[in-house]
Amino acid sequence: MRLFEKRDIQTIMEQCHKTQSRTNAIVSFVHEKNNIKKDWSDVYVAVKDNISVKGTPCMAGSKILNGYIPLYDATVVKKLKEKGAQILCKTNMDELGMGATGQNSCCGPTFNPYDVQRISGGSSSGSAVLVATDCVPLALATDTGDSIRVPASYNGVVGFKPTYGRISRYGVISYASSMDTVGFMTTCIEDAWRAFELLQGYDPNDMTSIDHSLGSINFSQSIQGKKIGILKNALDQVTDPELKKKFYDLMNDLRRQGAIIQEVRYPQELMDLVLPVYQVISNSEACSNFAHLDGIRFGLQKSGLNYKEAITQSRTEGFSFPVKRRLLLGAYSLYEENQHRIYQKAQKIRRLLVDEFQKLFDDLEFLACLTTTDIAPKIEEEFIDPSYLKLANLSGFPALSLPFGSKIGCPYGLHLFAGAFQDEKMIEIAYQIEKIIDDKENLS
Amino acid sequence: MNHYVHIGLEMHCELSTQSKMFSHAPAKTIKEPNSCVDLLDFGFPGTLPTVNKKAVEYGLLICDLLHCEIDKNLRFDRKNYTYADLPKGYQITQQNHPLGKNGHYLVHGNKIHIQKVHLEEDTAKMIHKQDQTYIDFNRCGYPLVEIVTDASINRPDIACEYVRSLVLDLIYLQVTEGKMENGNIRCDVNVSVTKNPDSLGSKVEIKNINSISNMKRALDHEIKRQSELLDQGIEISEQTRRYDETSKTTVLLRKKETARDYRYLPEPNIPVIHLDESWIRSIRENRPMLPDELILMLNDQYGLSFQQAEQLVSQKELTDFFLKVIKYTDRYLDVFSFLMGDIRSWMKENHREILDQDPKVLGDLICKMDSKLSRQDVRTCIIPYLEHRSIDALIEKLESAKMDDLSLNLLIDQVLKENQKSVADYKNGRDRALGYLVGQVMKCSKGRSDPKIVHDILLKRLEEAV
Repeated sequence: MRLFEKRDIQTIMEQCHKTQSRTNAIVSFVHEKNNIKKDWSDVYVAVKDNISVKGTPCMAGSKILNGYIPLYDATVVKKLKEKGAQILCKTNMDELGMGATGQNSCCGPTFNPYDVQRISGGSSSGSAVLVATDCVPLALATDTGDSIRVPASYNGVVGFKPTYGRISRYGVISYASSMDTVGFMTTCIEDAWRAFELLQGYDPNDMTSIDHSLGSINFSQSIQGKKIGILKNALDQVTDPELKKKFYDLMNDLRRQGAIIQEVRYPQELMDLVLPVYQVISNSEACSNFAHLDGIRFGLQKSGLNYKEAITQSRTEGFSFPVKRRLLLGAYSLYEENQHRIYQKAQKIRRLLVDEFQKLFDDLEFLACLTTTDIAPKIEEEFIDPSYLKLANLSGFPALSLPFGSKIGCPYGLHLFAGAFQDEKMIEIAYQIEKIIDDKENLS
Repeated sequence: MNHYVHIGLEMHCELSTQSKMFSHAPAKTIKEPNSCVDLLDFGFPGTLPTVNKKAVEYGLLICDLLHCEIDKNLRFDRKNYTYADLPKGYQITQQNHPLGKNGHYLVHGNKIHIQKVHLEEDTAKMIHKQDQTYIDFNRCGYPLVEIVTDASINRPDIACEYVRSLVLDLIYLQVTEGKMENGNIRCDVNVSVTKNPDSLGSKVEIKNINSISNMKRALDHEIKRQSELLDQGIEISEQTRRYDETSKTTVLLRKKETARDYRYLPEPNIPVIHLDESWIRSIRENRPMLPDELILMLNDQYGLSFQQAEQLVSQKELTDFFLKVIKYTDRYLDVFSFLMGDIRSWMKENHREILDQDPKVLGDLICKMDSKLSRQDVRTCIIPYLEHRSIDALIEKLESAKMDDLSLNLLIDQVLKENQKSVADYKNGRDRALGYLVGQVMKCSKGRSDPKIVHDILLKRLEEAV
């Protein structure tokens, strides 16, 4: 559904229950009603469960946060409430944002609404599903590696990850602070713009937020002369010729409309480093960021003979194995004897990877590829993490996924990258591409 | 055989900012436990640190005092470890890029090298009661500056003087309350004694030193202990000791374990902050006066001797009040002597630390001394004045109680008649006799006369009589 589209709460709730019984996308409903009457009063918004909503449990998919109720609203939630929006519910997610499948949550896995035998994608699994199943027109989410864009692709919705710092992280449970980005899912680009317009902006409570004034947008901006690169490395990973053909057909359509399309390749030896570098940095930051989850002041509280034992008990029971594994790896790369050859090396390579990524934008305005190499895999199938998506997190550059096509009834998305602070420009071109995709869809 | 002593000091100084280092909670420790806390101080999920600009300003003032090189890119690091007083699971500090480094400080001509000056946050306070431990988060996140010297100090008295003098400077910079007894200033002392002049020896760290006199005792004891061990040919091991106040000795706290690994990483929630050159300059330009500068000024402009000035400056509250009162009177030495006498005693007896009385009232009072009021009268007024009572009526009473000229002259006549011998002595050139006569008049008037006036009248009368 679209933003500002009026629907009564009963209809919404019925829809939610229907979705919930099939997908397990919701973890809790927000009971408090917003009485502020403003432009957004009719808008119901879903919020990923790692974003604080005052008075509503916040577990972030982790047992260790069992029973924790935030005492405050995250800045993004506050901004929505001030405009009159209703926070409807909190959505399921991979534990603490770690994961891209939507299958590792203490609240149970999130299933794909197009085919419940398939994964929803994660970590913002519930947010994508709720927008996909017409429960809400907007769902807040976070993206540290690809956590907005992968589920957006698998659920056929728009998933937008802005430039790092353009939306405040205050009130969002930090996973890897240097890459965590708040974004959202909507059903169309125009709504994504409306949401971005409201949520962006400097926040004195978040020193990493950036004071960058909102640019204007022109939805009738033609794609004539726009320089778009095709990220070959990503396309190489697509095995299904049908998907490949569909992508290149679209590129040809864009070319016909005056866009300048060229194939580019990010140095493959650097592309191969994206995933390991991402893992070292995200795990290192995570092991420090999650040190506060000790069961002493909030969340799951286990007893012990002394505080250390109590913390050990709480963390042993509170974290799932995949999370423990990542935290251990993070701690390992920070140990004095390893710092230099692991953590600091990763930081250096990160700079190198970003510089090389930036070079692509010296010449091009946008980069295009498929968000995921295929439709959502079945739960028992292996999920291959599309590492190229993480370039947007290592660099902080904006990226988005928009509904592109479907195969055996399951969707997949088109992915766009842009240079730092080109969020508005990226939305403009995405709007034109969305129109071309829709027109084609209507013709066939 | 000679023993070589190396002393190094790590001083933690609590900054007296309004709010904490990274949260908006008020920076007040002496309050109801857990009443000065923000969500961040409890380590609640989703909270983020924001840098207290005032704390950076204070840090820069300290760097300036210590002649440090300033890193214009302000950066913070995380020190990760698990402890009950550390809710976030890490402390935000400046491990890799301290605000200031390579500075120095002069103590009686000894140049003490300052390795680094860095900003960090304090941990919560653990309160142990019987078998329970309580945590007060008021102190958690409190802004601290750590000042680290190298180990080049070789005498305990220089180490102590360094602390005393530096703390006084910090108090005058108005960056800290500076009370060691309240924990505003905490010192860890490293000391090593060797027989080899080229090596530093094994570092022994002494904790829990809460006063300069204890620091002296701890150092003396520790140097003696290590020297004796060396003389016996026993090797000194690296360790942490604690000063024990009752036995006045240092006791072993723990042997040096394998160094704890703090898994430092750059704080990802705080971007690199570039410190503006002109901002740093304006902080330097607006720096409050330091004790040494004040001593010169008090001597030069107000005629206090260096000794008097030094005495006054050792207590900032008295100095501040002195400077306020002398706006209303030019009798600087009288103001000084009342401050160092009656006023200081009253503060001590009544455990008062601040003087918030109206300085004009004291200035005016001192102006009246020796003309309308005697010194004794002024002293009578001081206590009610200090207790914030109005002294207008009292002054009026004292003034009217003063003998009029006629009765004073009559009294002087009487004294002269009764002390013929002294009059004769004076005439014979014994000037001391005049003082005696003044005293007699004062005694007979029961202090209701002004000694200066009495002196003048007597002198005139005696000269006339010659």
